[in-house]
Amino acid sequence: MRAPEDRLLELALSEHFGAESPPDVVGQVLRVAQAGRRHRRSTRRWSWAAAAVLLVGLGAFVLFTGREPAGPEVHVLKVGVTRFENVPSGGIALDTVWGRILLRPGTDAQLNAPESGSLLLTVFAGRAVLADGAVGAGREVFLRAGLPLLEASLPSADVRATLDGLIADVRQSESDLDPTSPTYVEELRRMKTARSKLLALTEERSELFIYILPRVLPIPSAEARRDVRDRTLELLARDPRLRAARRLGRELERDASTLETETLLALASRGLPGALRELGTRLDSLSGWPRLRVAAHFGLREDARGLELLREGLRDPLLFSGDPDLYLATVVALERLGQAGHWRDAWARMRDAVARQLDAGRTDTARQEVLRLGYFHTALRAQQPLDLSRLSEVVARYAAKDTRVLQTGSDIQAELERLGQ
Amino acid sequence: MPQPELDLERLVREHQAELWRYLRYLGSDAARAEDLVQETFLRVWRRPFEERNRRSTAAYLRTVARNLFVSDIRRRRSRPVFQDLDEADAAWNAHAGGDGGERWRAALTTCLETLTDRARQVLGLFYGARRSRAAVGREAGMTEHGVKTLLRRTRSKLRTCIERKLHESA
Repeated sequence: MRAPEDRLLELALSEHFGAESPPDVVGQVLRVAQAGRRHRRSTRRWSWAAAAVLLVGLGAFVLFTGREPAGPEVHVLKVGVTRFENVPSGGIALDTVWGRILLRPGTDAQLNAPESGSLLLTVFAGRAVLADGAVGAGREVFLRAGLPLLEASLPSADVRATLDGLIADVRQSESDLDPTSPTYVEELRRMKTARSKLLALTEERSELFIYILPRVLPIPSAEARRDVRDRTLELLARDPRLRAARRLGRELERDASTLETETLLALASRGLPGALRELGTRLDSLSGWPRLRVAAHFGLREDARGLELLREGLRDPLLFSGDPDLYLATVVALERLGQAGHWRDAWARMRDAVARQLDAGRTDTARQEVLRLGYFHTALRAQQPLDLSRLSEVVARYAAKDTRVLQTGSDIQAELERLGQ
Repeated sequence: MPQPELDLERLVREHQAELWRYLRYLGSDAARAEDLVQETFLRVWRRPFEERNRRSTAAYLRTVARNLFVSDIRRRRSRPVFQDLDEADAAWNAHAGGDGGERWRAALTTCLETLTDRARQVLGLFYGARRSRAAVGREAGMTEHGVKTLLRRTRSKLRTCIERKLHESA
């Protein structure tokens, strides 16, 4: 066992010679802190046992009916928590458990409780959903998963009605039941029957898993619900039969009041008027950054609904670091509404942030920040639309392109100056 | 309940590097240390916490981080780097002083410049590029045993130099 002084020296040498360096976790911490605030406002109660039972069955089924993984690292995910069970080997391995999960396709792996504590690894729409009851609900965990996307379509209305009824029974917590009530046993039996029926249904039709999961899981369902939206939008985009696509769009709009805000933003970005109407009615009932996101959507369309929210949003001290994409979208929205000067302020803040990154030797991070700023600068100058439902993904893809032109700190600073004009 | 008055962003910026280095020192790998750093700040943010000065804040954060580290290795049943964490902490406090180890690292940088080119090359290959001693030897034209000896002597020289520099500047 090494002496402490030796260990200190060796770690310092590793850092000095560039093998590793302290990470910048400001953004991640602020995002989780903000998500934690939103979660505490939620009044939903979930049955952990129900979720765990469901996920064990569903997870094992879905996991081993997927295609071969496409590559070692595909997605970085934010997920939440449930329960862990042993999963037979078959292509999944965990390098680390909490915070970073790297899924390596094709390896023979064991997810053993002693190694990983209490975690359930499920595949949802081709992405790993990690759950750990010991950690606590509502936490964000960043994953990289090398799993394929599963195909699925939205269930028909009558199937959805059946599922909704079963899900409502599954969601009910056993602790909500009154053990002194004469109907206690009957209600408990109904809850357990609902779980069995849901499992049986998803074994018959795996695509139902995509509908069910976001409605059963708590906070992780935000990510899962976005996957439902993505599946739906992909169908809309890919279906060559326009009639079917229009029908699906109408069906979605009919249910607009039940859709998540993120889904509505995606649909509104694609021009569905029902989704836009629903967003307008929700503007006052939402709070925090989701409300700001809706206000930004209107502002980007030069619709002044939510103008005060946009101004207020920029005064949120956490927004710039916690969600820089939303911050910049808010700035662009205000500029489009004729509120000049915000872009210059945003540029100055970004300039300071980039300078800090360069001083700390984090050239890659500085480059990404400037490319992100460039994306919004283009949107502002060219009056291009911004899809607020998948802003971070689009910005990340844009920022990943063509980094060769910004190789050095000088290149980065020159580009930054250009964007300030 | 979280403290809305706590400037979380400033807290993270000021202390994240030292906290990460501390967790690496205790035995976390780089990725796990990053996760534990995040967890530490979130735990602190959710509890009543009075910031008095930088030094005491850093000590409090290290305490929380250490507790999370211990829970983590117990959950994973990993072998710890140090059997005696109190002794390890004492060594850290002596090293970090009141500035998170900045003076120590500055002294290291100065001392590295006093080494021969060959010694710096070997250190760079071993600690920077993470090559094995055999691979370092092949690249530097040395035997594996020669690399081992050079590393040992160089580390000893660096420790002596750093102590002297810190003493001179105290």
